[in-house]
Amino acid sequence: MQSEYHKSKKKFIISVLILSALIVILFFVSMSVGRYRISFPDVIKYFTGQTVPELSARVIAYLRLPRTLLAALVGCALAVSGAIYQSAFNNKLVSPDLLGVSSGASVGACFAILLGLSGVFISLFSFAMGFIAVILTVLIAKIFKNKSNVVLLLSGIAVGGLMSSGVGLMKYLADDEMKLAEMTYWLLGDLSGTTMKEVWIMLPIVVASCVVTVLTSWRVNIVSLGAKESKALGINYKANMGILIGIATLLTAGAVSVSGTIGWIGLVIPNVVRLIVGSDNKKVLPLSMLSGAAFMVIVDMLARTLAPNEIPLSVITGIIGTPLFIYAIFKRRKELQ
Amino acid sequence: MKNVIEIKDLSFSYEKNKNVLREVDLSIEEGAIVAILGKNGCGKSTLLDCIIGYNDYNQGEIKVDGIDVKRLSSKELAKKVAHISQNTVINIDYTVLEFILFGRNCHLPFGGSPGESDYEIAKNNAEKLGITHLLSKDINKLSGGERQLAFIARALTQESKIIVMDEPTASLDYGNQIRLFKIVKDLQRIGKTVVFTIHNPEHVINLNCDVAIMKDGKVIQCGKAKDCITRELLEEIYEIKLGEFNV
Repeated sequence: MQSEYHKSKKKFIISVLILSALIVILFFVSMSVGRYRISFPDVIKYFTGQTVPELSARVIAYLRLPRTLLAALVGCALAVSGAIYQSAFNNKLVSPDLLGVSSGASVGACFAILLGLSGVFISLFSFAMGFIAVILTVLIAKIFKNKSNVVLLLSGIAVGGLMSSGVGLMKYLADDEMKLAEMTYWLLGDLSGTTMKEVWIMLPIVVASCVVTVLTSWRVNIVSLGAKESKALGINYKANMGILIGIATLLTAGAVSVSGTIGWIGLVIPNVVRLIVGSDNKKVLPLSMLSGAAFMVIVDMLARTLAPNEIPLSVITGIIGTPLFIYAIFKRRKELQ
Repeated sequence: MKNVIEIKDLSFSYEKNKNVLREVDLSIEEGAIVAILGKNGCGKSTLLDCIIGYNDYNQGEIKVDGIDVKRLSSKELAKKVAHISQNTVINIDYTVLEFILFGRNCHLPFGGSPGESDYEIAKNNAEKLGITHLLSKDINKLSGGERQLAFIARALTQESKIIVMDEPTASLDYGNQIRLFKIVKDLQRIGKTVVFTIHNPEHVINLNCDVAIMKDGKVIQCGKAKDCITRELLEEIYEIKLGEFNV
């Protein structure tokens, strides 16, 4: 008879293989669909180095390939940072914006737009402000010299509120309709205009963070039990929490800086993954990475195919995420009583 | 018997100039069962938190197995001392097996996760405590007694020679309290040293174990429960007249 260990390992490997295959299929579908339709054989021909019509080759190389890769990286980053925060703070209902990173990044991006900057500068300002917001949250929490995470969460709410006011101020100061529209569109999440430059910025951040996350994934279980339990089980809680917050912040700030704020993924994907494979972070964190990537590629395809004009990403993640989240709540309704 | 825990001149405060523990001296022999008794707020749990290295004390010394606690890494200390608390809040629904496996952390290398042999150790310990049927259950759906057994299984899986329990009887009914003490005796039989805080002196007398009696942050008496726990002492530490209950 198969041992518990082998059963658990087998289930995990099968899930990884299914999701990986799904991502590969979605990748090729994503290359094919859009306003300019490219046949599947042409997509395969392009990636196997064979000759395809020039327009098809250009659409794939300059439009669909970068944005599909970026969508996968952003989805992966947001889903895994949500899963990290949920476990680290022992609360399945928190999202990657917990410590003010998304709202901070939004202030940075809006400020760059207000200054008339564009492209990489918006990403840089956004990334920097996302980090500054989290540092501010941690510093405020330190003033209270309290071991409880509640103080950190409350500081995050305070900083998040402050940053939201900052976004409001930027919008108020935006002197023409173009800038205001750009801010609004950015805030709803957008991958149009993505080039390989953004992909190359995001790729090392996601790969490095995911490697560290996978290496520490099982220990995240213990960190989720709190400072005292972690200590008793042989974990340096402060150091591990620092690493986890650092990784989640890096991933979220990186994702927001290249794609704008995209809601729901960090909240919904880890909870759906838990429904399928249970709560062991050894499985939840890697599967959240893959599920987040697959989900975001689907969202991106829908964003550019459902309407004549591109639909903001947060609108679609909200429409798909809400029923998924309600389903997750429904499945766990007994626990909530 | 050698002392497995030695506490000398230990003082600890959460706030400046408000010592919760004051010059505590306590020696615990290997293989002993020691109950820490005292009224609410006298420093019992704080003392346990110092032993597991959670509270960073400002004065004195705690030696576990002859080594200063402050010199041991979290992992090294966890190999020596396991901790069981009733107050742990778990909002994430780990299975009982996953929860018991957490005890293996101190034996795993960096980046490691439990392997087949760790699963076997966890399952064997669950079997010893008669909770094999609970292994796939959500840890949050257990009764107070079952939860306590899951914590003990985790402590056994940790394979540390000392087990400290913070108010282990707090959420147990009378039957489960008696069952718990039987398990504590069994733990002693397999060579474990068990230190626990408790509120009911009668249990300590029935268990016929060692006792450390605390008052206002100090250990005021140590010894065999039957010798130490007297009516006068209980009246002193709990600041009551025992006869009042009968009126």
